[in-house]
Amino acid sequence: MAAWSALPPDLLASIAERLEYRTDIINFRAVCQSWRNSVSLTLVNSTKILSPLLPYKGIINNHASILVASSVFLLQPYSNRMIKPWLVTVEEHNPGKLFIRAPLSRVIAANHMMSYTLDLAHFKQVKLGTFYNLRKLDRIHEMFSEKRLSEYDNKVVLFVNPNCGNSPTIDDCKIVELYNQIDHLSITRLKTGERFRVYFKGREFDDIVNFKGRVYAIDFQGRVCFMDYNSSKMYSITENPLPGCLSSNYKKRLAVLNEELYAIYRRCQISDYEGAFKVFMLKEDEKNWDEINGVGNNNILFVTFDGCFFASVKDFPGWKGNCIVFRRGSFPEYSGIPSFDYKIFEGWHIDRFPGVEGNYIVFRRGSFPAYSGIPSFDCKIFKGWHIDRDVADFPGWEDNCIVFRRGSFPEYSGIPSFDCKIFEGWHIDRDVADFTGWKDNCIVFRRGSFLEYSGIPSFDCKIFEGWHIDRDVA
Amino acid sequence: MASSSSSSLSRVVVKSSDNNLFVVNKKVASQSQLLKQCIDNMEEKGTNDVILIPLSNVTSNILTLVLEYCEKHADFADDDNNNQELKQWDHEFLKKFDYATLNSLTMAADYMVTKSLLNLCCQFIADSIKDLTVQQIRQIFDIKNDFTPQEEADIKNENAWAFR
Repeated sequence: MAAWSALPPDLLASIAERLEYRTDIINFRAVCQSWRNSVSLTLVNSTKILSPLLPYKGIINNHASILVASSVFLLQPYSNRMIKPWLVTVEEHNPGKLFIRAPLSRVIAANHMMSYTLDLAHFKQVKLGTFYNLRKLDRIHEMFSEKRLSEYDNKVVLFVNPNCGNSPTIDDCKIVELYNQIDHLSITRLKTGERFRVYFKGREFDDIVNFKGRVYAIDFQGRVCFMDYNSSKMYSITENPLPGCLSSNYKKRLAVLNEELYAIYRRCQISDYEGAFKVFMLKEDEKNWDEINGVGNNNILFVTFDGCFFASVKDFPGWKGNCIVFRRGSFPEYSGIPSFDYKIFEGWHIDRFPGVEGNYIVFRRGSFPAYSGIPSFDCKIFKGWHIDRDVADFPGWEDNCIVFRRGSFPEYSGIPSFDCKIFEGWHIDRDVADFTGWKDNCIVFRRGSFLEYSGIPSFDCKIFEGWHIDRDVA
Repeated sequence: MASSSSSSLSRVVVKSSDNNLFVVNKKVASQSQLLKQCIDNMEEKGTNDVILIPLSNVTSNILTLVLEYCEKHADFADDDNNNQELKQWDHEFLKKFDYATLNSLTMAADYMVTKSLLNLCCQFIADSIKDLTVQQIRQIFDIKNDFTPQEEADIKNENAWAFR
């Protein structure tokens, strides 16, 4: 008979020390008395939440920087299954301390000034994706705004030595940085701080992603190459362009699911018969892309500035599969001009999308009328729509839809009037009855509780109005 | 058989708790610090006889597994822990066992001071624990919840995200 609770304390401690995430160690201590007593609180507090290795402070590119992890979680309250899950993006800037970001963005939400805790005993957590950013220590305020476009248009991939075994240290890591309109990738060896450039045929890349222990990169034609960890050299995978992608003004995005690499691009010309997006799967053996019909009926693809991730449609009550959710700006244009999105999002108002705070526009594949190429045309189409409440109320919804959010998106122009208009109509403090059954010490995250990017003070007031901490509903 | 200059054993006999005897090559036995210590002690004394090492805590089932591990690892140099073939073998080795066997094997590795096997077991257990809920861990490892309701309430409060 196995007596796992009777293992010697030093063995139990040795097992617990191998757990990399704080949640796992907390769970370990919650199993039984002997397991609990073998692991000290010190170990809990010294273990990080989102990444075993991060945050990491160092000099990168001549700047005192901090490499941080951020994760997107879906939180489903245990107490009441009728409450729809929340999508929460958190960033671990100090070990064990989290910032909340505006949903699916890179911007820290305004409520950073408040100290509070979220009691995870009340939530089922599903981690959907983890991404990395470099924050400059002397310019921390930039985390709270998206004013600096050049800072925003970059991407960081944490490149861990694929041969370093179970417990990589920071010495086994490099970071790979991609910047807009620059013909190389910047590599930094974290062990030494040594930084160098890697060129490949003079290409500027659209996107990079960690895949199968390598970093894969795609250029504007959809050509793919990868970087090897040890040599930092790049090798071509396919020189074949993605069919039709040259007519797209938007940067391609890479996404990984189940050991497969996908490329997604957004189309400019939208006809009745073709969707607004095309999705391809890499056939590495054949050195080619295979066009596939959407992202799968059980999947939702989220596209954010930091990277793409897939979610299972079963975790999103009321949602249909095969849809793409993205923030405005997540498909940047090569020109850098965001006018098209601006027009689309104008006047749009979808209330209460389950699981995601904020306003969203929904594109259904095939629902696009022939498109003249004039952006304002789309604006007209969508102006007539008004979707209230949630998806389940809309029996007309079909598969193969594309959803993306609006609302708290940054305006490149910096003019705040647009978003202010949207938020005016919100009723933040409604539906208190929805939260019956909640336990103490819960934080209720709401649409509207995030800072407006434009940083207008008057809107902050509204944000804090929207915070609702349920103290003793139960 | 033994060399004339210094006493040296080529084999030892290990006895399991259920009184089965295992003849073990010295190189294999040296994977266990406990056995190695016994051998070294005997050699210092200048014994040329085959020695018998009784292991009161290890059954023959488990001892067979430990020795299988030691035999495999004796073929590789000490600094060869990153050898891909060996890593693969290690992984497959532990995958075969149920959790009761894994428990006994871990205890035996600890008792026999077979460090690399112990590390392997601990890592394997840690890997099986991660991403599981507390309930799932208890179920898999067959552990009873022995907390009082008050303790349980306190424990629940520990799992929180602190924001600032």
